[in-house]
Amino acid sequence: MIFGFWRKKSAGDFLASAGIYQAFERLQRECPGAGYIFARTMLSARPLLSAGMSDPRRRAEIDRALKATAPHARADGGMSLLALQVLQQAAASTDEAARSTYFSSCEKMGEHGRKYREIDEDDYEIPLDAEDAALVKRMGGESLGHCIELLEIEAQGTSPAELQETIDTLVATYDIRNEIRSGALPPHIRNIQMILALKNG
Amino acid sequence: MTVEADYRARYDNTLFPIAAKLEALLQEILSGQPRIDRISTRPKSVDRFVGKANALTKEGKAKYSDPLHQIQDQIGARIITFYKDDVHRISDEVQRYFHAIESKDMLPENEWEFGYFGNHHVLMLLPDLVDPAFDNNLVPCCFELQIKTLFQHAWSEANHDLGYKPGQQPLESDELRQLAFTSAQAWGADRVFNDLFLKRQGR
Repeated sequence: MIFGFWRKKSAGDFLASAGIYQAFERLQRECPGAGYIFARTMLSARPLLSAGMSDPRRRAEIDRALKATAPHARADGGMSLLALQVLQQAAASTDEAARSTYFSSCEKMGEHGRKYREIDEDDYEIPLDAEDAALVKRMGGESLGHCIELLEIEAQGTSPAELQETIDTLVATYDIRNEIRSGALPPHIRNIQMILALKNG
Repeated sequence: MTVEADYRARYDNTLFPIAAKLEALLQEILSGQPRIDRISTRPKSVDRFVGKANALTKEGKAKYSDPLHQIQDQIGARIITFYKDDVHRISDEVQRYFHAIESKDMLPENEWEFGYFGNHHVLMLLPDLVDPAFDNNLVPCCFELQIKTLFQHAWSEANHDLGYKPGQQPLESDELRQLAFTSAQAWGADRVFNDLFLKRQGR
């Protein structure tokens, strides 16, 4: 039976849960910087998917994380926020099949947040874009690669894993600027928002 | 087609009606919010867009390689609040409806400088604001929102009018210092008003 108001809602929720991983794959393929930040957020939020956590606590923790996404200093294309909105919807899902699909998708997406790209020769070029050049200058370098070298020198005492995450986040956030400027990112944001909206009918 | 012709087609066919719809929507979603002086939107004029699109870096290179995608304030919105604490409250409220691609508090480079202050966002346009009959190639994906206090707004308008413009004589050092002085005064006035407001609220 799929008739009736509640049935329709849970069918929409299931469709949303089933579509989210494919939407993420497309995002990651066409906008790797944004895909990494999205996946990294999923990885960091993995404890919130724990079976041992009660649902009220899970929802409260996700709300807390959403409020902490720096709404006045967002430089990640809103990817952390979007990933947490997916988790919020997963946690609110009352349909068992949808919930299980959401949770396994979130786990899978998180796996892509372990490592971003390597730094290459191009990253040592002085940026052609004036705003990018001003940005790296504010960070104390002449190029993205140079800024990362400075970061590595300053980060003595930081654990290698923590340093790698900082570098990956910096490089991904830098790449996102180009993904926004080229017009590649906004359609993916809209796509994920539309998939989440399937839940409502 | 030239960049100017491309942008003129956008301006005439889509930017103007989208900006008008956006203003009505912002008015509606913020109708219950106190201490908002005004809400306005505008499509960037063709002349200003072309001027920005042709801007050069200090090294004399073109600043934008693809201005129709890179210039994000083709539609601009502005919300002017009474006090500083209102700025982030309004910013939070707006972000309940619009996805922020970028958000930042614009500040002078260091604590010893005074100049432009404001809260800026690049937000995704909601599909509801775009007439389905529009050619998608003429519709930008985002708009820029500035949220400022009355004093921040007053300073930036006067600074824009009096400050350096292409083709004019650059301001002298003492004149720049005078502009910085007025920014410091506006900053101080905002601070005093905000403190008084909080005190009157019993906070």
